[in-house]
Amino acid sequence: MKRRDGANDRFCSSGSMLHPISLDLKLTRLPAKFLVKPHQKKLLFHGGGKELEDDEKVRSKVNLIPIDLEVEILTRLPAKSLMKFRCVSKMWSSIIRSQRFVDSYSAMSSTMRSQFIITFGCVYADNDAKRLFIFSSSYENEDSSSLVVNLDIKITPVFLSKCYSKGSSVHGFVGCPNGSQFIVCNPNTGQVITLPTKRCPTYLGYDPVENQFKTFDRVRNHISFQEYEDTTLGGKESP
Amino acid sequence: MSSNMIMLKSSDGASFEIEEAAARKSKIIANMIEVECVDEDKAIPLQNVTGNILALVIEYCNKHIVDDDDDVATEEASEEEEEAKKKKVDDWEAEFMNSMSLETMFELLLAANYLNIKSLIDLVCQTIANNIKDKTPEEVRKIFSIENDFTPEEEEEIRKENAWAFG
Repeated sequence: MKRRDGANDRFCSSGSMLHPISLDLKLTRLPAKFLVKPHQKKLLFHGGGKELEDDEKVRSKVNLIPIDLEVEILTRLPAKSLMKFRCVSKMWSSIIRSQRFVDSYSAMSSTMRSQFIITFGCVYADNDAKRLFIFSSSYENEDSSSLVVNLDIKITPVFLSKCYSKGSSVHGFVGCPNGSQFIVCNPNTGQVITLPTKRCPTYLGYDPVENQFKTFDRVRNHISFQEYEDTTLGGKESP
Repeated sequence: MSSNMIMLKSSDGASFEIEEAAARKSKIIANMIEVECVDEDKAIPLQNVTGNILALVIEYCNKHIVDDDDDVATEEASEEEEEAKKKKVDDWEAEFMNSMSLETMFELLLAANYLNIKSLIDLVCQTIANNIKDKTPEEVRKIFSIENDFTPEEEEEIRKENAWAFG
């Protein structure tokens, strides 16, 4: 097996934000002792000008917010906000990207935000009009049979072939062959990446041990065996 | 036992009387009661909580003491009643948090953390999260008084990486 690591660096960030169809049963919901490094918080203003007095008052209180409470708040944010807040500070960025945060986030999600994913493409349209739609839905109320469905991603144009255009959902990601490309989507964040393939059947897989996503290109198809080439997506986050 | 009253004293000297059952929502106070270091006619001093915040904490505890009592006698309660009750608590919590400024929320969070009231920490964290989720990174920095330690280039890089999140 050949291996191409880090196929797309952009994927790292999305790789961490998977929404679980979770096998993750360790309910480590509270990352209480998260990162005990001192925060780089400082008063932004020194010297206390008149107009800053109120600000200073608020700041001095908020300044006391310990990092584990900040993490508690972050754990409750939608994924999209988290990606946005990565540029708040280096500390926040490293918290949000840490494996520990991702684990507790997905554990939390699996208890609070159960979700499933629906994909379909209109393959019989003209090439330019072909679309792939990805919807997600969460149960609002167990008694209700109706669902609120959100359209998360519309990819256009796509070149879905009729025979194996099924988008498969793997651990919260959706992989979908698209002509000579392979599309991987994160419906939770709306992120889409496109990978080159060898024009052979490609599948998306997830390795729960290494916590990695991989794509497999079926390069040979014998009666007795199939040979796959795997590509690891993204880098493993340092814990 | 639940009718026992306990005195709490805030950092600015205000005294509050609270039922023991309500006060037990705080793990810290519950522990103090367990080890019998609560003197009946002496108030428990809470150095880190001001009077106005302590009043909110007590309001919350009083509201939730009822639920815990119910837990014991749940068996006869039907599912619908349970649900109605839960909805009532949710509505109350929404109303309770709704009137609060972000600054008060942070103070309340610190107090809940200090007193170790898990459900209140959850509630406030979720409310703060809802409050900031649509804000810009600049606004969030200001709220948490975090200094931007990225160089403009680094920040631009992250913004580019996550351009879809800024839409």
